[in-house]
Amino acid sequence: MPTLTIDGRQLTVPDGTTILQAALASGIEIPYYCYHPALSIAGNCRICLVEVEKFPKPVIACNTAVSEGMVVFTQSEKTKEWERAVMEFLLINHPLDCPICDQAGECKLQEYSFRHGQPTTRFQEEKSHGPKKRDLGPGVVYDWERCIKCTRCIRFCEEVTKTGELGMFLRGVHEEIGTFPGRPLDNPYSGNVVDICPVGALTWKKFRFRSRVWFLTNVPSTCAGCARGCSIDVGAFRNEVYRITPRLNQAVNRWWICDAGRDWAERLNAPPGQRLSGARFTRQDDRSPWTAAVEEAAETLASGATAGKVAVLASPRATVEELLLLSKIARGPLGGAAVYLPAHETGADDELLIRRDRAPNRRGAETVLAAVAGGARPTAELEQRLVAGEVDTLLALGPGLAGRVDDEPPVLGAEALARLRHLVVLDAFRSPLSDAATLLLPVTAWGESAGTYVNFAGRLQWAAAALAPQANCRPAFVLLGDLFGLLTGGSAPARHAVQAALSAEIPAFAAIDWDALPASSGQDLAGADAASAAPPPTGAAEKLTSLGVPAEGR
Amino acid sequence: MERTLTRNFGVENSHRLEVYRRRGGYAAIAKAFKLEPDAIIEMVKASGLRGRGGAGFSTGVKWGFMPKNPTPERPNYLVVNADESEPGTFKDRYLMELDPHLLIESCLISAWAMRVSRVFVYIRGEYVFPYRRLDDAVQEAYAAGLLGQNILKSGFSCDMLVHRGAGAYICGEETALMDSLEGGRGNPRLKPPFPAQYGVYGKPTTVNNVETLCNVPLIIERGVDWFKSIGPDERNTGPKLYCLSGHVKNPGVFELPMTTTAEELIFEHGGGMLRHGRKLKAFVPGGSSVPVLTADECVDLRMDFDSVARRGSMLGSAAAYAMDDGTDMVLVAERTAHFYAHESCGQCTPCREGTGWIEKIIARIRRGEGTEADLATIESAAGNMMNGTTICPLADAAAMPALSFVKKFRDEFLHYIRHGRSAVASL
Amino acid sequence: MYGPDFEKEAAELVAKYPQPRGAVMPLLWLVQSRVGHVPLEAEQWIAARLGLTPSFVHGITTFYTMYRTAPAGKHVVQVCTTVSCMLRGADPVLAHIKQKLGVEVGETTPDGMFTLVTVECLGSCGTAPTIQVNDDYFEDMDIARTNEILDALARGEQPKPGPGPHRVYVE
Repeated sequence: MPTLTIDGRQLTVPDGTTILQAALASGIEIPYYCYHPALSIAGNCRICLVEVEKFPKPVIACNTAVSEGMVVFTQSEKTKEWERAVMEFLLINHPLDCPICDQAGECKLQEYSFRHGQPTTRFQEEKSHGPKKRDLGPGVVYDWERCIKCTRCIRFCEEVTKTGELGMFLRGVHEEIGTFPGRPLDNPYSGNVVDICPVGALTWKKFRFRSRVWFLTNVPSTCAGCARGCSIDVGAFRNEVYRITPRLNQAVNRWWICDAGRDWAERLNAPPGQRLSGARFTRQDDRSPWTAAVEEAAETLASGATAGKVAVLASPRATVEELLLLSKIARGPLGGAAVYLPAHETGADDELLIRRDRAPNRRGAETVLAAVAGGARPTAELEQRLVAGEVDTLLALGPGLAGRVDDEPPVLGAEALARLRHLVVLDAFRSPLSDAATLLLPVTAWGESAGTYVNFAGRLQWAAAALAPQANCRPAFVLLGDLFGLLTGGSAPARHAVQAALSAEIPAFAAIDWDALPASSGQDLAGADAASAAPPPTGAAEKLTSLGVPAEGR
Repeated sequence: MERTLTRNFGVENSHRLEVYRRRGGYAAIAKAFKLEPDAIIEMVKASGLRGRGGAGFSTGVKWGFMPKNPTPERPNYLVVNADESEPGTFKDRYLMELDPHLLIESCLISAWAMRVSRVFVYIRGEYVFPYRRLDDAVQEAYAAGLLGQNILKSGFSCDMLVHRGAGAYICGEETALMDSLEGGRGNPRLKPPFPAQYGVYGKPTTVNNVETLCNVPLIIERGVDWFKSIGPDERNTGPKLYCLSGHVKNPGVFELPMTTTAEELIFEHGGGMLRHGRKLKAFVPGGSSVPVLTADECVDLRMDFDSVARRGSMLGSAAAYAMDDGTDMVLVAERTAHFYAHESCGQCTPCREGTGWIEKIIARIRRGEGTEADLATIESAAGNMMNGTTICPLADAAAMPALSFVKKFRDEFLHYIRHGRSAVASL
Repeated sequence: MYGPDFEKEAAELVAKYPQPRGAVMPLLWLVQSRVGHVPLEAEQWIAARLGLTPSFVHGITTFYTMYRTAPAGKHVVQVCTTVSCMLRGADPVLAHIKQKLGVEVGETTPDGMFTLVTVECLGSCGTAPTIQVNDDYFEDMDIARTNEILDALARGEQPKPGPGPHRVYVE
């Protein structure tokens, strides 16, 4: 465990830690481009050159292991001179694209130029020119002139996705990044190269030229695309999701998200007719339609319960809080009605992030339903009971809570649906279930209201409200609370009361610190070890994890 | 002096095994097998042999870095650097064309000393004729039991493979060579780790230049004292191959002791100035990567590693070229700068951008569009490419000549800047 | 795929290296010697054969100046223009070749016979100026010798490579 002195501060670090890692872990800034904690060391950008006492030459901090007694100066005249020199070399051929470049505002070339560069240029030549809009694949565009040849993108495709689509071609000043003809960059994680590109050389086609990043409100949230529940940042502008980027979470998704999650906005910005808007019910009177709708729903369900022919359909896309309310409705006023949980599975689990279970909260649903409502039952059983006439009233959370579902098979067959006399549906996006509803209560979609999900490995994470609702709807949590109140003769419970009940009544949630959940990396349910299911660490992070050094850096 | 390294040059069919043997070849390896490997390393150390590829590092010391107990899982490798691409250098080419068995025997002795079981020769792609000669010689050696299993019934086994490059000066840098040899782009690697710990395929490796290795049989045959007796002092020993080119009457390869002076090389062996009525103006002693010397700086200059270093340049690969007073030094500077920009591998920022920048500035000066401030820019940019800011010394090799041309022929640059044309009648 | 015994010869090359990846450069040479350049399909074949990705192999092919990714003329005329050859008259030789063949650097004559490129130091400074035509060095070049050699090649002959006729190796 060597001790080094860096800018006068003493740090003791595990064997094998590099100067750069030691600095980053202690909040000392050493600039870097080609280093990334998840990738192998390239050492080619040279911006991290630092002065080390007794070393005759500069060393790159990213590849120099700390030795006992080492003394490093990140603010010395020499170190600053080297940083200025490297910045100058990087900028001489770099195009003056800032006014039109997506990266502006989050560009390390801009940041380091400001902090470590010089204010004027002495480059008088014609800058090198090259292709500015090379298609690398369905999602990614490459601008050669902006590229600083750090090779992060190439290393990502070799070491993380192990697909190797990107290569470096030619040599010297003509070096360029490209794909082999006929083999585009089209792996399911291609968008991550755009995140790790330190400059605007790689851009995401769906975001290109759409917005300045400083106009985006970045809300930390959790993806609802599958049971992985990757941590994300939702970048919204004018109440629309403009882009989704990964948020570092070593216990779940590390630095990455898949392209489907990145493009989730497409599943929210549905064409007209897909988004459910405005309550649909029978009685017309002078009360607010929502009040009337909810009261009618309560009466319908109550009579169904009296007749003993009521059931409940939950959704693995609903939040834990919503499911607790649903469970209590089922157990209490609906007289122990059975609760059914559909499956949304496509493809297979891959080796990185994607799960075949395309719902974010199956484990959460099963945990809550098992503790409070006698367990989750398969929908095939519900279909049988419907056809047999045992159930004629259904309270359903629909499949469209996280986005459009017009490309998914229906959760209940048409024949089964036809047997229902009363179908109360809470959903956000249209499906055969919502079409068949006798009483439709549109709800907020993912991103419009907050709640928690439990991923497949037992990690409880917060999905935030990043947008105001895009339709005439109410949060499902509120509607379910109102129903609960009406059916039990009590009041709708507040969120903190629901959280308290979860912790009190379900051992898995006993130790959860609910206030700490938003914008965090989540918490494991009792008995879970979510981090063990995270993708294996790669690159520097592989060694860092075993060293116990936090893998800082972006 | 008696020709030893080049003793077979000019002999008909010198490249054939039977001729090499008839003239005393493969006696040294027989003698070496009777010595302990470490004893041979000590002999090479004591001889003072320094690398002939450009760096001048003590060969014996380098050999000493290799592990003494290789295993089948972690064997020792020897790589022969036959990439010879430093402008002005052409000595290894003739060694391989005319005396390939000398190189093979050298490798055998070196492999025995360093417990090496596999030798790779990396020969530049353009050297097709030398490659054919060397590869044929390797086949001859295998057929005669001089390579492969149980060589000369010594119990020692060694394989040799000749690998062709494909046109990249950077592959003369040892870590780039290893990268290329393993199947790659020829990108230099970060050090540490060093080749003796982690080289080709991760195995301990020594990389030696062709000429350096060819001295080894001589040391074994004739002894350390003989080797040390050639040369001016203990630090600059043994016969040296000088390449002489440029504006001399007799360009070529000359085997001479390092007591030879620059003037002897140019005017005696080289026959003096090529062009009638011309005088010497500039001289590059060791390949385009070293600082250029003015004619004045060539007076009383012994062509050994240390003397040339004291004069502010380097012996390097002993690739000397002379320029007469009809030479446009700015054109030479531009052509030199172009070479490095063309050959930069592109990995690291200062070299990739800096070599191109220096070439562009000098080219603009030659077009008559330069300013005096440009000279300061060249000096500053070149300075920023040196002394550890890059992964490998190709950047230093580009920077040093540029700095020396601007410093020592500043008036020619200024003439272009002020008058838009060269101060001298061009070639 | 590329002539008789291609796969057999390829296998022999691969067997010479401790790891298959080491054979990528000799395989590229083998393809170029049979086809005249390295087609994309060959890079894919080599990649599959050695367990590499095609983009990695393409990166190797394009890094080195001697591998061609497109067909060239029958005779690739490579003129050295680095300092030592320049000092001894390479520039006029290059200018003469351009004029004689009617091409710029990088171009191929319309009849497909000659491609002209410039290269860096060939390691033949003692007999400069030097050019390389395909595999052969032609040294001690001047205008007359240039005409001799190019005319001979155009006639389908094989002029003797190496130094000029006046040259002996060693005095």
